[in-house]
Amino acid sequence: MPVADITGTGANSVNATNLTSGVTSTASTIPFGTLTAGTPKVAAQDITVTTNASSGYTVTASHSANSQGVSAPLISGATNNIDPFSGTNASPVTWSSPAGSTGNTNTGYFGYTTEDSSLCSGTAGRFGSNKWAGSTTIGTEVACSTTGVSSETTRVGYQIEVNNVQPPGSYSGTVILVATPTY
Amino acid sequence: MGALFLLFLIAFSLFAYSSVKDWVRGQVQGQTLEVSPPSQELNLDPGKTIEVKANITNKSKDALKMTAHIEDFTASGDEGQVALSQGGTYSVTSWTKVTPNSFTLPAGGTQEVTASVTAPKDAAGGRYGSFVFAVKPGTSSGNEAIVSQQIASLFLIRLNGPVNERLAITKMSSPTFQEFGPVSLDLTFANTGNVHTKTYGLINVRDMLGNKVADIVVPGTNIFPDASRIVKASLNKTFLIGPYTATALMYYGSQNDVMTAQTTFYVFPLRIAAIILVVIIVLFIFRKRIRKAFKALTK
Repeated sequence: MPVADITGTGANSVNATNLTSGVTSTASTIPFGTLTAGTPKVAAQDITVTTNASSGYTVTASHSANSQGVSAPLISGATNNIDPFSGTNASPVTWSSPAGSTGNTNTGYFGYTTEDSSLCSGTAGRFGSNKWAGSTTIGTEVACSTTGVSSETTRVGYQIEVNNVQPPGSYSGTVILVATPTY
Repeated sequence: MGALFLLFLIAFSLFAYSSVKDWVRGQVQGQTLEVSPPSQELNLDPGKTIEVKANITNKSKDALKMTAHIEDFTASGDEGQVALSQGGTYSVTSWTKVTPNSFTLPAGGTQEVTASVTAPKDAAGGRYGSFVFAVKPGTSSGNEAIVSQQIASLFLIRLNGPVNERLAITKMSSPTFQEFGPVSLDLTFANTGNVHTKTYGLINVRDMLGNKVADIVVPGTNIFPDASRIVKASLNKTFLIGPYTATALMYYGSQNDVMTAQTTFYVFPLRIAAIILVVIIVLFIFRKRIRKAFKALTK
């Protein structure tokens, strides 16, 4: 698909946060690489939806359940995890650094944002002004339309940050993006 | 079997961005999935089996390893959004087998997937499921989040036999006052039955003298059981003056049951009227001077 079809903005940020140079995302991975305590990293993806279903669509984001049995988007081994950011989809908040003093408890955050300013549920533009939310294992809205659309593009951003108490290790997890038509 | 819905497409593309410097270059790696139909409606006899089909197309440049499974869905919010779920009153997953559930889609390739749904003999009402097609996430090498792209194709099943169809208009609203049109007219429906119900009809708008201003057609819209849905209509006229009454006449269900609701609104071009009034007042105040000036000009 030609690039021109998916974006014409030439923007270099997601919800006013600059992307981190060196985080070379692909369509299926967000390789944050090595994190430095106190230095957040930001990546972004564009979700483009086309539908001729007249009632529109919704895209939700979630993270998969993990082997630790905790609702953490990223884990390392059997015990270490990075928590979802404290904001929620219904009430996203400005990014704040993790301040936990006990490893694995608010010592690392992973969050997302969306540039969709007309979400269909709740306050339509709640992610504006650089607001972020933590994902859960239940899909929550990051893009939608109540009418059919042609190549409607929404930029979704991801941010991660750890403090110096976060246990070292190789962390990974799965973000799930689901596009559903409106019934 | 909703064959007409086969014409509908929903395509879902995911493009990744790398960094500020690599902004344009980073856009080249995309995954695009297309599902058809996005939703379909079917009827099923209790005790019988029906095959539901959906097609998934890989519109990416590379082959994709895919999985297909069935999830239930319920209404989410009041504008027709859905939430994928497992179990519940209207669950269909335990009745359903999907084949194939794992396959590789070459670039440009299409795979038809079939869900075989068998209803128990005592089943009644509605059941709601969704094909969920997912790109198989790769194996993580660590220090990264894997992104799993998925797309859903809904199916709404109505079991033949006795059903409880119960739909009501709980609210009809419009702005109380506007200077100009168009005027939005919102209808809120609540379905307290046990099956999805489609409603359709029209909104008749009349002025203060009872003259018809417009008949607004409200196209068929499904309402999920135990859910509310707002249906939006609009009186697409700009210049309107006075009070207006909008009366909705809506039909639903197999018996074409009727629902009605009414709302009143006022439209008056206040600022234009104020300007005209000021001009008239000015002309009245200076009428003698204007008359003299006019006579002087015509001599």
